[in-house]
Amino acid sequence: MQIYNTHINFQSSKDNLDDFILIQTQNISPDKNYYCLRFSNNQEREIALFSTKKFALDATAAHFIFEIQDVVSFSWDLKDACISYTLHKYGTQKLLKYWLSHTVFPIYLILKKKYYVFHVGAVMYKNTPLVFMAPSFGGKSTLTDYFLQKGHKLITDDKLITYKKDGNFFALPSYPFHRPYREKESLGQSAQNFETKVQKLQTMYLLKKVDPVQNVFIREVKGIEKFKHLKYGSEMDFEFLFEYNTQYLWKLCKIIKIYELCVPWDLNALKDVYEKIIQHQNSLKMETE
Amino acid sequence: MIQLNTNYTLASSLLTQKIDEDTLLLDTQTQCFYELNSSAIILFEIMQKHTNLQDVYDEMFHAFEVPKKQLLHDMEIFISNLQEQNMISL
Repeated sequence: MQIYNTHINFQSSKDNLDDFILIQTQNISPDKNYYCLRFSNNQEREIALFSTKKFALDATAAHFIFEIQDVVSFSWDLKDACISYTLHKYGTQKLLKYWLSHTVFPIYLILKKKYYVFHVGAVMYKNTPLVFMAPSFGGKSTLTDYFLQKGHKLITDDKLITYKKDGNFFALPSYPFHRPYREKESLGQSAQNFETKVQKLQTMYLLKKVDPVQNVFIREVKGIEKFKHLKYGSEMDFEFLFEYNTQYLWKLCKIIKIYELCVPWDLNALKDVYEKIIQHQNSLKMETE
Repeated sequence: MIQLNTNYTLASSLLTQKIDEDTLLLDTQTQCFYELNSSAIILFEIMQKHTNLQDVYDEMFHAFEVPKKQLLHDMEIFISNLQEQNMISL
């Protein structure tokens, strides 16, 4: 799929999404026969997902509509590599790009039940993806931006799309934008240094805010705590996909390592945090050699 | 006080998963997770093999040589917890 003149390489997945297309059409609108799932607190927009089939784990061959009221509606069938859209009265090209990249395309992939999405920041370090997990306003974008300033490639500033293949887990590169600031319905600044290849997932860092006077500290997270953090770091954790998602996370828990990274809540500490992560990654590499 | 000569059925919606040293019990019906301690893990695994509490008691007693009173007490608590969460019918 080509967005912003950047190809997203899906060759390692089972879908041939290289041929994915976006089509403008007219009058996408759900009728009374659609089932509806409403979303709350989404950047002050009324948002809903509609389906011709009941939302259930085994629902197949449904037609979906995702509506951002008065802005844009998208529709698709899961078997097609195509999403159609209609702009409404407040719809613009900028908002179209934002909602498609930020929300609709990840939902499209999730509903295919082959991909799992995390709400994280991620960058590259020496052929290894570094994934930063935290609640909203937990420092993911700030830390991601710091790494970009240090010359590391961006994988994602917001959503990490993952999948399982041959017993391992992989991450797809996302859209090449990052947001070192908060602005509604904005993808942020274009990232010039962007990773375009699929990466094998190995570690994740869970950011934990600590007092500014404390030191940066890293400890491995295991067991149920690991599972809980992955679950809370998940994006669009649909209830009707609960069992599928749980099984996915259980398998992921067996493969990747998660580390709690205590981050002194002070922008001046970012350098220390950065160096600690690099040091940690170097020591992990030495252990495996 | 539980009656050992009682048949039971565990909810079909239950799944367990070991993650590192911990074991999670998931009820897919309620979408709730529970952490099982080491005794509960063993007891639950044995309960999955049988349908009568006497058989569970016998296997636990022979495998672990736990004092009878202690074993009965532990079983009661565990089964009571399962009943509270509608994970078992007796």
